[in-house]
Amino acid sequence: MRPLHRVAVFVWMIAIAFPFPAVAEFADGLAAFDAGDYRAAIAAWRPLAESGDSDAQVALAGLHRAGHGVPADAVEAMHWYRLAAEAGNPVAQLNLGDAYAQGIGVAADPVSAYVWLSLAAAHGRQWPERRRLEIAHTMSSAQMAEARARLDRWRAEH
Amino acid sequence: MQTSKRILLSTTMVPLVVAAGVAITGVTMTGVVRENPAAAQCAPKKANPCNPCNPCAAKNPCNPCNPCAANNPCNPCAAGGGAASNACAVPRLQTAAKANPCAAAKPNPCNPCAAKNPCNPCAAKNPCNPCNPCAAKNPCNPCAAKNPCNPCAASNPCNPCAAGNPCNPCGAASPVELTDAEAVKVYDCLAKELKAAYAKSDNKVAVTYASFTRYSRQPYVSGTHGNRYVQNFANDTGRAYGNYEKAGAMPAGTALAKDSFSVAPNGQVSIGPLFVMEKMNAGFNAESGDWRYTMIMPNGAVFGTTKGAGADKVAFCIGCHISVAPDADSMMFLPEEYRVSR
Repeated sequence: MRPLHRVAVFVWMIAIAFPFPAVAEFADGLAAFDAGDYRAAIAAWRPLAESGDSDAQVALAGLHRAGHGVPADAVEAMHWYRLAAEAGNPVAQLNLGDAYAQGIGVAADPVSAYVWLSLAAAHGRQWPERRRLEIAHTMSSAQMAEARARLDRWRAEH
Repeated sequence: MQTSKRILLSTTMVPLVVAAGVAITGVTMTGVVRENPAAAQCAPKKANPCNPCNPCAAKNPCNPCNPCAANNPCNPCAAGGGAASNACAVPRLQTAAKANPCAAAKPNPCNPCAAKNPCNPCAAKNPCNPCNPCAAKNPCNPCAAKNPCNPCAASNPCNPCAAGNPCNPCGAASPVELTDAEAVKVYDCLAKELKAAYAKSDNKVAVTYASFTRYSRQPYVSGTHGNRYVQNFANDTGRAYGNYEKAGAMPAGTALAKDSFSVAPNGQVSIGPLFVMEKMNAGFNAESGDWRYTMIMPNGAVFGTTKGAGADKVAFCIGCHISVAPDADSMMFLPEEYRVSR
């Protein structure tokens, strides 16, 4: 038997012998949320969020923001929104942008608000498009230049 | 070498190795399933002054100065958490909560940390003591996990504590009871925030539902929607909804919406999801009776829609509506006392 085949057989045996434990599905968390069982929703969503599932990150952020199943914590909510926003999730981007506009869980910062709302709007969404225009009216030309520069950098990197 | 290889790959050894692995995994998994949550929670955390088992914290869990209060999800004073609403609350409950912060704890019979719960692990020295009289009686007692017949065991399909089980006694928190006047006042205060929250989704129904006809006189508690306070709306095409049980099958183009909010025992109000049903053209999806279900979260997230992206995530909506209202075109109607006559 060739060495490569030996490795393949070994991996196959290990895979059969040590199956990965079942991970709760996102839908389990959504069903629990629907039923008002927020703690079960968190139990289902947290491992998914920690493994990088942006839907679960957005869902978890919503629970932390509202104080459902956990004490309300806007900072923690923004942590999860930021992870999902940086991965390109438009709902996370618009919520993070709105939070920067209002100073909820983050320091108020119109430039960051404009940047995140613009990224969400780029997905064709109308709400962030309206919101970013509202914010644009309050921004100085220097702030707008900085926001555009940050958007250019984001687009170059993503 | 050849001999060793033959032995290792022999028809006797392969099943033996697999069986050993399965057995080890089984032991590991059993350990996971049977891990005692209360015990895990009470595991020594020397560096953590907010350990719920910290004797100092336990003595006065409702002390507003207790540094552990905010971080301890079992803290009876923290029950209910904060509110999504910036402006709306129930003054009567807020006053009561201020007078007695411990009384505001949600009366969740399965909450091991509930102040009035005699099974409170903070009260008992050893909550998992097999002699603990609470262990046997409470099927959801985390200490009962050691019992192989425990109905809460994950593998038991009849588990009454399963999250998706509407009869789950440990599931949805009991609704905080509001007077009719309080419910109306909260809704009037919250209406703008509700619309603004759902509009983040860009969903057509979410953006327009407030202009639909409302068929509920006032907010009422819906047990099938997480014990939240809800109101029922239908668009013009769905005006037959006002005939309730006599409505028959709804025409394509019907849109039904239910906005929702919940109230914490301390009076804080938070926005719940918007539940949407849209009747599509015949042939859209026989399994759902041609209804398209969408649940819109208060942060604008839409995680799934029937026959659309993430359809599997909202499949439970179809199952529930079809089972509860098989003869009413899957529509769940509101209690008669809250109906608007049209």
